[in-house]
Parts: sequence; C-alpha cells; structure tokens
Amino acid sequence: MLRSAGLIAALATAVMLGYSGYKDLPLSWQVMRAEHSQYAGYTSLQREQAFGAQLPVAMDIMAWYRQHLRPGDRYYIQIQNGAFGRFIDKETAVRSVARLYLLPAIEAKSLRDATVVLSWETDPSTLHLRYSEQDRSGVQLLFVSRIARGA
Amino acid sequence: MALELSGLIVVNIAYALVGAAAFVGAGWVTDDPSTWRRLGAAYLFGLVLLVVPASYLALLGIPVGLSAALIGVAVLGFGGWRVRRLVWPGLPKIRRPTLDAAAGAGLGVVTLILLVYATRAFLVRPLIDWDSWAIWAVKARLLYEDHSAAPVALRSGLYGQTPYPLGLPTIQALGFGAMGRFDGTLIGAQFIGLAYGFAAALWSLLDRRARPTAIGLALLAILAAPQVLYQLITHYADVPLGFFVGLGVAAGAAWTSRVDHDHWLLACFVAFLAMAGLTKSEGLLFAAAAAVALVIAQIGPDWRSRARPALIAVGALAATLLPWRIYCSAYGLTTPDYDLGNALRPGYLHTHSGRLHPVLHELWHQLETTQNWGWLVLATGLGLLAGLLHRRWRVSVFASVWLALASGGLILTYWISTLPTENNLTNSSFRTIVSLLIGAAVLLPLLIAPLEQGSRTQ
Repeated sequence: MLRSAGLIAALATAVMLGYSGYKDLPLSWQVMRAEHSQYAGYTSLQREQAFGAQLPVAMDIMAWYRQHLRPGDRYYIQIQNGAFGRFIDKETAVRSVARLYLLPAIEAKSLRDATVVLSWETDPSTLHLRYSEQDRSGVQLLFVSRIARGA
Repeated sequence: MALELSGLIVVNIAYALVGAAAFVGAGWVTDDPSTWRRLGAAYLFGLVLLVVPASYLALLGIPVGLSAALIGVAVLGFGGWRVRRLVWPGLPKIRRPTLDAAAGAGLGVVTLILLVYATRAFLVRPLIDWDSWAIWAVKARLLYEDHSAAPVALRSGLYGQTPYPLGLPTIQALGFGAMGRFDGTLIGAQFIGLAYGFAAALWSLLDRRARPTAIGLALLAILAAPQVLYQLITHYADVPLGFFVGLGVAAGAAWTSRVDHDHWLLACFVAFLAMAGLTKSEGLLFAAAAAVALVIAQIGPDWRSRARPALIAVGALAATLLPWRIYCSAYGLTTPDYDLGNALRPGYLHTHSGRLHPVLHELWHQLETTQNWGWLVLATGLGLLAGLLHRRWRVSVFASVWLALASGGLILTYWISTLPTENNLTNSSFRTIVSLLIGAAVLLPLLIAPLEQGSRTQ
C-alpha cells in the first residue's frame, strides 16, 4: 500500500518536473531572445557606460574625469547632494558609478587621503586647498584638481 | 571581442584541466573507464580549487591571476605525475543505451540547446543591475586592476559591502585577466559557463545513483525556470550561489544514498559548499545546514563506518570557511543589516515577532510563483513524500533536515534584520530563495528514482 502510494508520488514528481520544463522552456527562450534583441545593437561605448547611464548619471562627465586620472590616484568627489531617485540620492549615485568606472583610480575615504579632487557642478576653491594642476570642462563647474602636497 | 572571448575560453578550459588533474592526482579518475564519468564535475571542481585559495590570497594583496596560475601548475603537475602511471585501457565499449538512458540524454540535449541559445544573450547584455555592478563587479575590477590596493579598499566600505566574501569577484577578476581588460558585458560568458558547468557536474554527481531520466528532468526543470537564466544574466551572485549549493547538497545526498569508498563525493561536497560559503554570506547558512544534514543522515545501522568520513568532510568544510569569518572578525567587517546574536535572544525575537508574518508571506509568495519557478515547490513536496513512503530514510532525512535548516535560517535572517520588511523583502526575497529551490530540486532524482549498486544505466 505504502509502496504504491510512494510510486504514485514519485511518478507525480516526475510529471511535475517534466511539466515545469515543458512549460518554462518557451518562457526562458523568450526571455533570452528579448534580452538579446534589446542589447545586441548597443555600441561598445553604450555597453561600457550602461550601468551609469540607466540611473541616469551623465557618463560623459565620468569619461572626462577618467581622461584626467592616472593609475594610483586617490580621488575625492566634491559634490552638492540633492534629490536624485526613489532609492538613492545624487551623491550616492555619482560616487557609486565613479567607483566602478574610474578604476584603477580609487576613491579616497576622506579628502585628507586624496591626491585629486573631482568637482561635480561645484567650485573646488571652496575647499581651500592648493592645487598643483587643474583642468576645467569648458565653462561648466566640472574640475579635476590635483592637490599640491608638501611644502 | 573575439580575442577577449578566446582568453576567457582558455581560462575556462584551464579550470577543467585543473579539475581533471586533481581527480587523477587524488585517484578518483583512474584507468577504470567507469571513473571517467566523474569528469563532468572537473570544470567546476577545478574552478573552485583555484578560486577559493586565490580569493583568500587576494586579501594579502597577492594578484588572483598569479596565485591561480601557480596553484594550477602545481595541480597539473601532480595530476601529470599520476597519469603517467595509469595504463590506457583503450576506449570503453559503447553498449546500446537503455530507454531510460536515452530519455535522460534527450532531456540533457534539450537543456543544452537552451543554454546554447541563451549564450548569445549573455554575450551582449551589459552590466546594468545595481548589485551586480555596485557590489560584485566593482570588487572584481578592483582585484583585477590594483591587487595591492584592493585589501584596504575592500575593507573601507566604499567598494561593495565589506562582509561579502570574494568568491564571485575572484571568478570575474580571473576572467578579466584572461580577457586582458575589464569588460562588464563579455564576462557574461563566464556566468553562462557556470550554468554549463552545473549541468555537467550534477550529471556526474548523481550518475549511477539516480535514473538518468530523473536527472534529466530535474536539470531541465531547474535551468528552464525563467528566473534562473534571467537572474544569471544580470550577474547577481544568487544563481551562482544556487549552483554551488545545489552541487554541494547533491554530492552530500548522493554519498548518503550510497557511500563511495574513495570519498570523491565528499570531496565534491566540501569543494562546492566551500565555494558557496565564499560566494555570498547566506552561502555559509546553506553550507552549515548541509553539514548538519550530512551528519544526521548517517545515524543508523552503519553509523560507525559512515560517521568518520562525514565528520572529516564537515571539518574540512569548516576549515575552508573559517579563515573568512576570522578575517571579518579581526577587521570588524559586519553588516549593519542584522546582528546574528539577536537570533539567540528570545526577547529580541519576541519584540520583533510582527516581522514574521510578512516574511513568511513574502517568501512563500515568491516560492509559489509558478511563472518564475515552474512547479519546483510542488515537485519538492511530492518528491519528499515519495522518498518517505519508499522508506529511503537516509536521503529523505538529509533532504528534510537541509530544507528545514536552510529555509528556517533564511526566515530567521529576515526576522532579525533591521531593514524595513517592505523594502528588504521585496528587493531580495526573489533572489534568496534561488538556493533553496535549486538545492531541493537536485535531491529529487535520489528521492524518486534511486539506482541500486550495479544497476545498468546505459
């Protein structure tokens, strides 16, 4: 009796697994097709910047920062915080995107540990630091300022 | 793109070779052709063999590529030394397959076609999902781009959550090294590679212990479940975790169903669950649940002969995972989301008992969402019932204990969480259940269609 019930349960399990596979296979196929058709036409630049662009963080600014950074740099992002999205504020969005995009330059934990200040729509002179080099993006308040350390 | 992809393929072939060399070196694959079927697990075993130590050595600032290469060469040398002593027995005779074997192979081919079709999407989908880039890819790129700065930066709290282990970032960093650059899109090939590896390894682990049709059905049901490939393509860690948990659990249950005296299954149990514990924090929970299940399932007539290897395997698993816990304790790397100590404080649990209902409701809602997971939950319930009715006590006990501890632990984690239930649950519940579902589904072939020793499968 128990063996028969066990056999029925085993068969029912096999049927459930088979039915799952049969029903889900076309769905997964469809999901994969949709993913492919959505992204297949992306350029390599779009792919590289997609994670930030979809937030949306202005990736052209990030690209400009990256041009001025060197391996080994420790940067500090100077930014006025503000509303951004439902789950994150502007500062978190910009800093998070920068951490991945600007590597191998690494974000400094504080301004004191930084070698470079990246100013995002902010004036770096308000930090009252001496800079050995400074680049500005046109007339925008976007700066890459290399901090002058020592004497 | 072709050059980068070639590099990634080469490193993945290297994983398979290292795994095969380890199997040969340890005497698990010999000149007996019946042991060759174990080679399906070689790829992911090799990956684990290189990634686990490399992820630890990365904490000391040692490049993951260097440590993986040195360990790989050593394992290949060891395997090469042993392989010279083997006598080539010639190609095994291919017998006419049984209907069962043919059906299993057919299901395997259908699964393979799905994976091949999915691969082209994995090659073009960019990195866009928050956790996948803000936590995992950033850690991986840091390990790849600046190994000497990585330990301090990873502890700073700026580069992903600090108590998250480095298993998955190490896999990705090795992939970037092989490609010669960071590419958040193309690394998708590594993720789909894990799915191929899971399929091959599961087949090897359950081979000759469960009917091929049942293995094929379970494999198809798991990999065709829409959330599995969808979550995998986002580069979240949850499906890779589910794969490693599933393989570890399958190895433990397979050994429990019938002991293999050379302990290959226990070695796989240790390797895959160690990788699970180093993939995500909850991997430790699922690994600990499997360790308890393994020991409890040996209680019975042969306790004396079974307990020793089981306890040694549990000890080896603990020894592999302990250094990460010690590292976290030493540097105070804790999550602000919960305090594990609260799980042992009845007063705290009572005060926060209002969280229990929404937690149970949400987790069950996710599990029973058939458009995401098919009928895996119902199949699991029926499979457990079948195992018990057929008096397959050991595997049934293993499955019941693992499921009870793993799901209980997951519920407890949400219960003691300091995050609001609405936000915390809906953001993560659809991902944290992946390991439960995969872990449960891989046990079904052993519960419903086990094979006795000497049964002919092909």
